[in-house]
Amino acid sequence: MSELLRVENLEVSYGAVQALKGVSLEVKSGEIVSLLGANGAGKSSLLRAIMQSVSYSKGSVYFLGEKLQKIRTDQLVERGLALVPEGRGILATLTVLENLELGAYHRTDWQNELQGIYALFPILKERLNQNAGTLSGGEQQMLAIGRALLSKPKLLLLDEPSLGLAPKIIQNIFRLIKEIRSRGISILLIEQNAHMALRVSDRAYLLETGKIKLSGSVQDLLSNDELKRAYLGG
Amino acid sequence: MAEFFQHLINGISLGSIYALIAIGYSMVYGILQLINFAHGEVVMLGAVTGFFVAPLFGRPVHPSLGLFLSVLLISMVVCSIVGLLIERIAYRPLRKSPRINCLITAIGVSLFIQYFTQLDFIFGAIPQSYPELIERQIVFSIGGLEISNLQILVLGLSFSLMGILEFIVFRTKMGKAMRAVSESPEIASLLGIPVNRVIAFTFVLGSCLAAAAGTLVATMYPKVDALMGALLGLKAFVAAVLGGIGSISGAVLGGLLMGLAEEYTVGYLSSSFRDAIAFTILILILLVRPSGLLGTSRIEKV
Ligand SMILES: Nc1ncnc2c1ncn2[C@@H]1O[C@H](COP(=O)(O)OP(=O)(O)OP(=O)(O)O)[C@@H](O)[C@H]1O
Ligand SMILES: [Mg+2]
Repeated sequence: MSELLRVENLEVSYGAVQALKGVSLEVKSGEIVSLLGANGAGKSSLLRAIMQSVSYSKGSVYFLGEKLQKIRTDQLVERGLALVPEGRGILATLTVLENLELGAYHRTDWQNELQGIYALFPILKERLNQNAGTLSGGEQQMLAIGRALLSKPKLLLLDEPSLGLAPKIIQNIFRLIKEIRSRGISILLIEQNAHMALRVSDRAYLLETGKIKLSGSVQDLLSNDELKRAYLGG
Repeated sequence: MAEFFQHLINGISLGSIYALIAIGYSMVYGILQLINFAHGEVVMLGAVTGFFVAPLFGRPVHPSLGLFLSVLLISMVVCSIVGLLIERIAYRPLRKSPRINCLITAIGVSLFIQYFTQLDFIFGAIPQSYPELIERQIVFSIGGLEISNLQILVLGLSFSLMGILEFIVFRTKMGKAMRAVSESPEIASLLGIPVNRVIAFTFVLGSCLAAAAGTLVATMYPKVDALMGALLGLKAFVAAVLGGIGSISGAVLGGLLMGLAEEYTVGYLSSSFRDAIAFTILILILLVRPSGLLGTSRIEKV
């Protein structure tokens, strides 16, 4: 398996607060990798730094073997990296269809992929001309994922896609994650819901106050007592 | 009665010019939360460009629609370049700076352009008369009500430009990107939208409308001077605030209301209130409805 993303010794600070204190991780092509951790551990900061939308003081990010330097977020999207941000990042004053169109901003040959998106998320098709802000939380999450897929990513970064959603919709989201991977898109997944995340993942990292505490294959982590106690409820 | 309708026509044509300028304030505000105080100066440069360019088509100037349109087009190109330069040189380096820094810079840019234009080898401090691009004719006259071809030109051009703008903002990919950036630059960039390019495009659009406004003002009231942008800009800014700054339709509404208010004040009260009315309106909105008629309640703290 070839390497898609590699993060080395990344440090991110907001003023006096150091959110990441030297984080390294990697995602290989075809993998689903989970990033677990408590609130404030620095998970979202890590994804934002990978996307180059927050600056990092130390460390480096490699995507497709190339070190990301002086590259803008939008250029990175063009190269095949997409983030579905925490809180979904829906453009509330634009319609559902406009949100989808903008997901494919740098592309010209995306129109015929819309049907595929509607097949994954039938509800979106019924809401196309509605302002995205009027969608329910679950529908917004579908839109956010569908929109990211239209950018034709090689690696999809998902920041807590199940947050605030009903159990049934959460199951749906996890089914989707597997479906997306089967289409050849790798995933780096942030989740509070460690049980479910580990069930779909190949490997996982545990982030604690800005540092990687544990990492390994899902089997290894499931047998780790410390992780069990802290995140899997005993 | 005829008088009332005369003021209505006059007010709407003046108001549509304010609207063209107000749209520029509103778009830039919507996208950067910045009050681009230099926008009035771009309007002035639109008129100044026409002053220099019209004679190049032949002296003495032969008024014709073709001449007007050619001058308009060149003014739009010049103003777009100026708008791009302002954005690139003055505002972009301050993208992550506090609002107040940008605001002070905007005032600085505005003053710079005013004084630069007043230099003798540029335009000079003395007002000049604007060449007659189109001969004024009364095309419609009934019971004391008169409509001139210039008024029809102003209305026709302003509303066509607004229509084009509406099309761009709601129907084109760039327009959708503008609305995305104005809602959230961070999310826009996560979708692959080159935010700085979209901002630059916004300045080009606003500057084109400003150029049209400058050309129209100078055609209606044929005088050009380096300070003309200050008052026009200020009134249009008030119009944008009145409509709800950040909202394009609000800017159009605000501009029209401002034009009407000014025209009726001059007509029924006294012409000495002409400029005071704008500021009276500003104070009233700030007291009664600070977010403007069509605005959301996101209020700038400056
Ligand atoms: N824009 C910011 N300015 C200042 N501090 C920030 C900012 N963003 C994050 N932080 C701080 O950085 C730390 C890590 O935040 P981050 O959002 O990355 O955590 P997280 O692991 O995603 O948490 P959660 O599970 O709650 O989403 C926190 O202490 C947070 O307060
Ligand atoms: Mg987070």
